[in-house]
Amino acid sequence: MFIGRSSRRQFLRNAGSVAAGTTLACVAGGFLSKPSRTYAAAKGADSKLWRQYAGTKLVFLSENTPPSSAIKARAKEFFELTGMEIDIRQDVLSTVQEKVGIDLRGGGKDYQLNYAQDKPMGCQFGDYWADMTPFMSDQTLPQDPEGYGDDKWGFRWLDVCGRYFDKNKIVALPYDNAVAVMFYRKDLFEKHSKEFEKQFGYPLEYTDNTTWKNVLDFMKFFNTRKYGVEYGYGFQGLEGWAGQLDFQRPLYALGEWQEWDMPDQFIGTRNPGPCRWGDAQSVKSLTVMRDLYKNAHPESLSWDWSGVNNAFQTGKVAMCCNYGEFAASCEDPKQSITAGKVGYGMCPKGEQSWIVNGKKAVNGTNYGIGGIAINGNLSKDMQRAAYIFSIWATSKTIQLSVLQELGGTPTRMSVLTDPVVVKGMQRPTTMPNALTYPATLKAVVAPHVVPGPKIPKWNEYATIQCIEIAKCMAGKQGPEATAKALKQKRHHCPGDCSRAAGPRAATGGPRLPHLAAARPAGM
Amino acid sequence: MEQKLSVLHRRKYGLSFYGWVLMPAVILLALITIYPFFWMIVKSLFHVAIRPGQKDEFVWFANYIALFKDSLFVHGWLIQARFVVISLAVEFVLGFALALILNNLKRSANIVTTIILIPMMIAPVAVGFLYMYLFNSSFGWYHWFLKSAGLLSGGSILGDPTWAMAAIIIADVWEWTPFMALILLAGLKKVPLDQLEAAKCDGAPPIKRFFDVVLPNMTSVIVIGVLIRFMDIMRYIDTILIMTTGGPAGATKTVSYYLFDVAFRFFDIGRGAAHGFLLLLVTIIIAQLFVNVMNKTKKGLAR
Repeated sequence: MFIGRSSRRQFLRNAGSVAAGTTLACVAGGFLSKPSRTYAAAKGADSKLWRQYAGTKLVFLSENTPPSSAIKARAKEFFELTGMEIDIRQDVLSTVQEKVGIDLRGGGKDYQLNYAQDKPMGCQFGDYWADMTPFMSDQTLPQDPEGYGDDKWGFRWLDVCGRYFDKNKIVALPYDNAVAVMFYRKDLFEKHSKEFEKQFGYPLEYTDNTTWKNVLDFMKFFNTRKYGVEYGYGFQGLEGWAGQLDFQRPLYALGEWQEWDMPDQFIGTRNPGPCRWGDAQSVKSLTVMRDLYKNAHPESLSWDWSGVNNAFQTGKVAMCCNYGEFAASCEDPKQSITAGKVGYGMCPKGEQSWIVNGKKAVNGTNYGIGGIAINGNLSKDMQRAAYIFSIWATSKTIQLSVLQELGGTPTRMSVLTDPVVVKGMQRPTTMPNALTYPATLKAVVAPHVVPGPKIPKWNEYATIQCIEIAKCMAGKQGPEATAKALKQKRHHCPGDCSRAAGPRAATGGPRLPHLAAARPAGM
Repeated sequence: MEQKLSVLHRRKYGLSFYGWVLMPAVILLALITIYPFFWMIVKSLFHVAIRPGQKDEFVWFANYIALFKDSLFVHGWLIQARFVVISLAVEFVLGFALALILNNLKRSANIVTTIILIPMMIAPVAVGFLYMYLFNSSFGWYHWFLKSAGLLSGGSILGDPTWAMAAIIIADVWEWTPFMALILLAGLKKVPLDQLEAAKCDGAPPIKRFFDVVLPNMTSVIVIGVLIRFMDIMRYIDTILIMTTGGPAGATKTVSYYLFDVAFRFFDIGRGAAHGFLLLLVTIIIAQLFVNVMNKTKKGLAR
């Protein structure tokens, strides 16, 4: 086939025109395309309700947690049900924070679905997420057969993950909760109980009434390196989310101490007012915590949950408070020398003799709830499409299968009380994470659980808190100076919470009615 | 002829032909670089709203004043200074030594140079992970070595405020000394052999030849190498982010790392813009001072 000079030119011109036309059409299509809505008229026509946004593509930016990976593996199932494509992108929490923050605050719509980790994400971006409550009662959308009532989830988990400073607005649905429990070497505790009793006058055992003072004794016992481990206990004081949670557990265990007196700690407040740092209990707690840190593994200030888990499963420490999802690796003989040897209990109780604020000792427990939120910059139709994914991913069926495949801690009570899961809470089990659930379910209720502080500037507060407390734990600063520094920095640091609440709050203007009513006088 | 045409074109159209051709690219570059720069300055004068529906509030220099009241910002400069000075000094000395060795290698110089350059080809995040594992107290080889040598009394590297900074510097030196060596090696290759041979014939010992012949001929290269590394370290946070996240107790929270915190973790855009602008300003001033000092030194050496 010979194409002459003029005809080749003609051919190239035509081909170029076609290519340019196609490109323009694609670009225009991309700009103009909207999710096509075909409302199903019939209430019972489930399939139509689920498939009303078929052809839409959703992007969910999530932290790289096991449940997100498990949901990602089920993307095909979601496509088959809804005809919608879901692209789940995973990254470390700091990167997720950064990307989601830029997208939301820049008015972007790149990530239609956001990972809603309660404090690091929700406190900061809750105002930018879409309110799901209108969707929950919308008959033109598919709904979860169990519903979304507070009693359907763990104790106030919907509040912690889905409500930020406003009780009437739900901006996220929880799908995983990493709860802190005590991991301890049950084999070593049983083996060396008598020797311990000889030295300390009571048996070496871990119960719900074991206090932080007992833990200090356990540390001293195991730190001798005669009993199969290098150190008794490992903290996770790495600066950031890990450190804030780790410091909070003993602080709360001792007299239920919290930084602010809020009307409802589970909802939080935009304007927390004066903090309690510097009171007698805070100084006392820091003093005893310093003793605990002195006796813990020296790496404690550089570990997060993964670091301490690594130390635990390689036999460096006999005990650590860590999140239930790590039971899977601890119970895996290929990864850990502790397989089958671990006991799980509630986090240690506060020691009564260390409490000076007149309140009681509790098993201070905290957690990080992972939820799914919808980008508030989206059009109503895109929000509805994203809502369909949210309810699918948080449904009982999906949570149960995620648990069976990769682990995590489900958030629906129907999953946690399902006979299959209840059976899995005892050894031998195919769901090692479920071994932590008996302790988890006892610990995540009042008065043991501490959800906050839910304040808009949580990220900044956590940074300041970690730095000052870590200085104290490292012996660089005394407890009184630390408490004083924290009090001072909370009131004078730039970006204080009073500014975050806007001019109205800064001048003491009206707050949310239900919060203002419940706030004690003088605050 | 071409020059004449260019002059004529400039007279007629106000700009040479090449100037007009380059204009779209220049405008594009200006939009990409100059606009964000001015945007940063403007934003630094605002308290940027953190809730949808709220308006930004013009606060004059309140963000700058707030920064100087922030102990983490002030302390961050001290940490940054320590990080920059020690890293730069060690990298320069080691880099020069490596460059001299490479320059005098008779055999396999290319292979050895390639091997030495490997660290700088690794992504900084990967270097962060590598050193985090090497310094790990459970299985880290460096940790074991330092402890066995009796140098590590506290039992932890990344958990100890003093050692953590040293660990960050070690990781930086390991990764970027080859870069310094490469730049200095290029400078060594350009030292005129006739001058060296003349000095040798005059009976100058190696040390004197180094200071009187090699160093004056390398001043420009040294300025470039040190300047690039200086500007790089000033904005460097990758390994810190992976190894210590600024801890323990804020011991590795350099001012550039704190900028990341303020802008992308606290999302305090106004304060972040003021912070970024100050960091840039200080970097430019120090870089210029450094260039001036080196130029004076060069002139002095030339005399």
